[in-house]
Amino acid sequence: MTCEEIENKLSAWLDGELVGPEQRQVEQHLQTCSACRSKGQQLLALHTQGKKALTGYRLPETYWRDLTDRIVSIVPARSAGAGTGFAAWFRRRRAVWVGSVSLAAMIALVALTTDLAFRQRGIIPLSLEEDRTVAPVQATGRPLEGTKAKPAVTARAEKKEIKIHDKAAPAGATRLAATTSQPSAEKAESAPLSAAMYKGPADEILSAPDFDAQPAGLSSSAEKAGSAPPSAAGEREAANETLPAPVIGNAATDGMAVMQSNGAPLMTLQVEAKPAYTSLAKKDRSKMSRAYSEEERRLALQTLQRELLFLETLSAADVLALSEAERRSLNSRVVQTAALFYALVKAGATDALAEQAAAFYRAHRRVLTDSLGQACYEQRLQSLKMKL
Amino acid sequence: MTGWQQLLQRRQDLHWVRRIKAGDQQAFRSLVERYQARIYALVRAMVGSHALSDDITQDTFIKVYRNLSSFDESYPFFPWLRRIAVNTALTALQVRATQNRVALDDDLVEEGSLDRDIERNELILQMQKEIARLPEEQRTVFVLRTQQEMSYEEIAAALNLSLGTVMSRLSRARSRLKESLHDYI
Repeated sequence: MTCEEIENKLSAWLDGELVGPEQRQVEQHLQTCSACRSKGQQLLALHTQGKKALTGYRLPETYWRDLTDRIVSIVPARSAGAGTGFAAWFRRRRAVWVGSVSLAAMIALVALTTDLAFRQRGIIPLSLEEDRTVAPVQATGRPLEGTKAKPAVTARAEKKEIKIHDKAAPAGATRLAATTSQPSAEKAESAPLSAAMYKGPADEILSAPDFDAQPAGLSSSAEKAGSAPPSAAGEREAANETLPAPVIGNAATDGMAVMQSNGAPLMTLQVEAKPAYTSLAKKDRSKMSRAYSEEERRLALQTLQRELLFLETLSAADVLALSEAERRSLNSRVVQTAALFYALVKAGATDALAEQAAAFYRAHRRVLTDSLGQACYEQRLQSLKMKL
Repeated sequence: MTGWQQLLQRRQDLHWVRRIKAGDQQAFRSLVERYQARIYALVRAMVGSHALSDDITQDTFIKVYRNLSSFDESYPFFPWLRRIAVNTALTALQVRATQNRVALDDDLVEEGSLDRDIERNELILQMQKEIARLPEEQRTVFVLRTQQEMSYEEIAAALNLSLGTVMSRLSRARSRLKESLHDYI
């Protein structure tokens, strides 16, 4: 056997994978050839060092605990699908329901989150009429001319909270609003929404930046208007508005859903009770994407930036100190931020944003899968990755 | 690990597997806790990126949970788990390849993820980079042999390859590493 032939077999010989005549040939050659022995020693060193290189990953204990929790938290929902009957069928279809509802919720959440940035400008994006007809209104709570709809949802001019006055408002809208109101409203009214939402047991405000600070150049209508929804101050601010207003997607319910821009309806959609979320999303997603103007995009990005900054300021210890209700609020905020990310990326995004979005989804996998369901989460993450 | 310990571990695994099949979530947690670090290390060595390894490790255990009914209890549990991890990682690598994402070099050595002692070792760092640069098929075989200490037969079965292919890929991977790490080894 030549040195070249031996060299080809040396690797397998070192692994103890050669037997019989081949093994003996290699061993005999090594006894007489110092060059091949040297190569053998190099391969041995390579194996030893390679093992160190491939096992030297050290991660904090908290990472492993979190990973275990994440994995275990995902599977019970899957296993619960076993069985028969309507409940089991519903559970098996959970991903579909959650996916559909969450898509519609995403639209409304984008509206809500974008709304935070627009609120100071005296624009209220969403209105629900008592007869379950959605109608556009201005910040003053007054219906737009030409619409008979009575405003049922009115944002308080005080920027920290959104109140639902209409008992007939759909559950979806109520839930969305509820996620943005702080657990302890009284004290929180004087604090930034983002911080007040996560107050600790001792009512201490976490040291988060004031994310509700007004964007430069925008008027402070919310603060001036006080808590009375239809105020003259609000009207003046709305009248003084110079920037184009956002297009906001309405939560779907029975009746008509209206997309509006600067107080004027852009499109009206007939939506049905339960399949409404699906049909609204499927039919008009493209229209909504197109309707996402540069200005809205800029402000949505601004809002997103604030949300990310806020989430980054929370340490693990902060989160651990939260009460159950506060943690739920925090989770809702994570879901909203993820929805905003997703909507922005879907409407066209840079690689960097898509990458950031995917990283955000991965970092908050547990919360998002809990909220969206595993299938929907995976679909979104895949979609974000495809944008890269 | 001694033979006795291995036997005990196998029996414990089997016990947990049966309890999981009966719907015991705590048993699944125990199984995840036992193997997640090993699976992560394997996957990390194969794909390089921490974020992707995290995803794959999670997906692996979810697949295990879903497919536990197809696990043959007459065989040890870990090789079955490892095979799922390898397949999941290979699929992820294919997806990444189709997306033209070559992030191995950058991702392989991520800050804070390595033991400090090892971090100081230039050879180890260099070796990690060179392993990451290996062609995927060579890297996978190298990782399974070097880190997991799998036999050629086990590797061939796991990757659905012939013994000869395993042998030649491993040999080429080592030759390449030997050449690129000539100054260190």
